[in-house]
Amino acid sequence: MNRTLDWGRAEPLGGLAGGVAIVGIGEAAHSRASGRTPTEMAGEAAAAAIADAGLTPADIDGVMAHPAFPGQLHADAFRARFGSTGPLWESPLGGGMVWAGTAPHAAARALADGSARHILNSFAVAWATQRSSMTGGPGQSHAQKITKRQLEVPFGWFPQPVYFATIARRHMHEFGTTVEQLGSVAVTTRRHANLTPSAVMRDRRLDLRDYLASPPVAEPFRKEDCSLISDGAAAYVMTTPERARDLRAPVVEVAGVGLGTSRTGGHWAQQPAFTTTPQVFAGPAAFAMAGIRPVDVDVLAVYDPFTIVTLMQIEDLGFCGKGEAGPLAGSGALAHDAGGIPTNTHGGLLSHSYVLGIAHVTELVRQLRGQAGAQVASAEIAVYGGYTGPQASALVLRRAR
Amino acid sequence: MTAPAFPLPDPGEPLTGGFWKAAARDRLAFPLCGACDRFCWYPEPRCPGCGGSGLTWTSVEPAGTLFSWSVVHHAFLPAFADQVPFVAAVVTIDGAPGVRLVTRLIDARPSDLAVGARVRARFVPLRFSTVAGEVRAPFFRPDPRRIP
Ligand SMILES: [Zn+2]
Repeated sequence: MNRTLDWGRAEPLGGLAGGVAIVGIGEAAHSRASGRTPTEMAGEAAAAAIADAGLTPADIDGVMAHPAFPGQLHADAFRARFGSTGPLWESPLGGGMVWAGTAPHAAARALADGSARHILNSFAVAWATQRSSMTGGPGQSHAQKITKRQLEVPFGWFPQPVYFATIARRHMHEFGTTVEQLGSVAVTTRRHANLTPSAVMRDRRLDLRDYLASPPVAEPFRKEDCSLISDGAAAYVMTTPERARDLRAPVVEVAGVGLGTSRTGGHWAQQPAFTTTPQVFAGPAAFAMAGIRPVDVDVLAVYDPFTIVTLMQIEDLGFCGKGEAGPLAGSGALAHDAGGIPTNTHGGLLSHSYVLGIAHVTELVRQLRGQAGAQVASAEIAVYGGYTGPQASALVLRRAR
Repeated sequence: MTAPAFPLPDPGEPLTGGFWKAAARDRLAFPLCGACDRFCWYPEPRCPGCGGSGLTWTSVEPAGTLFSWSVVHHAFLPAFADQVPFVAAVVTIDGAPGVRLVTRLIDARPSDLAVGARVRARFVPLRFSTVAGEVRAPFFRPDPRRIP
């Protein structure tokens, strides 16, 4: 247990310049292996987001996509897809994971300095298709890192499900978290997916008995503790709050952004605070920028590659004390209609789609517009918790009055 | 001699090879910084504490404490298909403060495992049916010198 906060820091982001609002959201179909390419799906999600905003592709003069993932909708791909010929501001600070939460911060700067008027952030993966042809997937890049390849893989401590199972076991030891509490995260998240038309698992029910009867993958995890592998994409369009008022959708403003970094990088085994995420740095920074406290939050979406990460982020964002998220989840408080802290109301990475968190953000916008499948009553403030391991981000969204 | 094939480790790899060269002699060794007397794990070209480059692979008593573990049932790589279930573990080492070692736990029933259990290395040949060769590796087991 490491209660001191010397193992990482909040990045000094500064403010949101003239402000930024999310005015359009879109998703490509989320599915098992589909044969579609990331570029194709990102384009589909972008088209939907632009139409949702009441804009045309010619209105988009800024695109954000992450360089580390293949086939994203960078400027050239955007032009090829939509035939646009005007100037296009381009930023590598977009995509999913932590960047789904921090992209609005970079966008706010570009909107304020006149670099762009309408900015699209998108992210797509075709890992289900790639896995079926053994050409990629979330574990592959990890196997290339020398220290992991030489010092972890030979012992079978690989890949992510094994890292996080080991973290979960330690969390159980430190705080008394139980398998049933991990299961309650999977069950509640699945129930949300059952209410969400776009979820990969919309037709697959799961109760705690099913969960406990499911065979172990890497103890204490069953497959229901682990994210889906799916094909899909999501995108959102950002502009200034002033321009947002002239567009057709209810205005969802960005109220705060935080980014936290662990100094130990991507080696989970060496993380001094083994059962804590850098969300302890990101969350407070975002809440301070927004001028809110956790109790003010109506709906939460956290990057959930594994059930334990949902619990850790809920704790690290300050929705309960450290180690208390297990009992909180076990009480049913994560459900959209329980009056607690509704979490991952679309089904998350566990049951909605493995599009690395960007669909968490589009779901929060739906919630604030009152258009979600598992709708939280009169949601006004929403928070996304992004996570890569070495970093975490927090994004506070607020429905404009 | 060609390097052992994945997922075997390569004792000739410059950064990490010292670990496996020590294991070949039934020693458990980690890089120790001569300037600040601190173990640097995972290995880096320079000590993250003081920036010094005088890192020496230093043998320590191969005993420690179980930090956490997972009983792995699914073979995430084909090489592990005939080894599951196995216990992948993280242990802390008595003589190397700050080091967390990833290893394999053997000679223990999973139901008997507990965080904090005393463990001791047993050097065994690491082999995979998918690739040729073997590399001597420190697996850990409940410390036979301690009755729980
Ligand atoms: Zn040093």
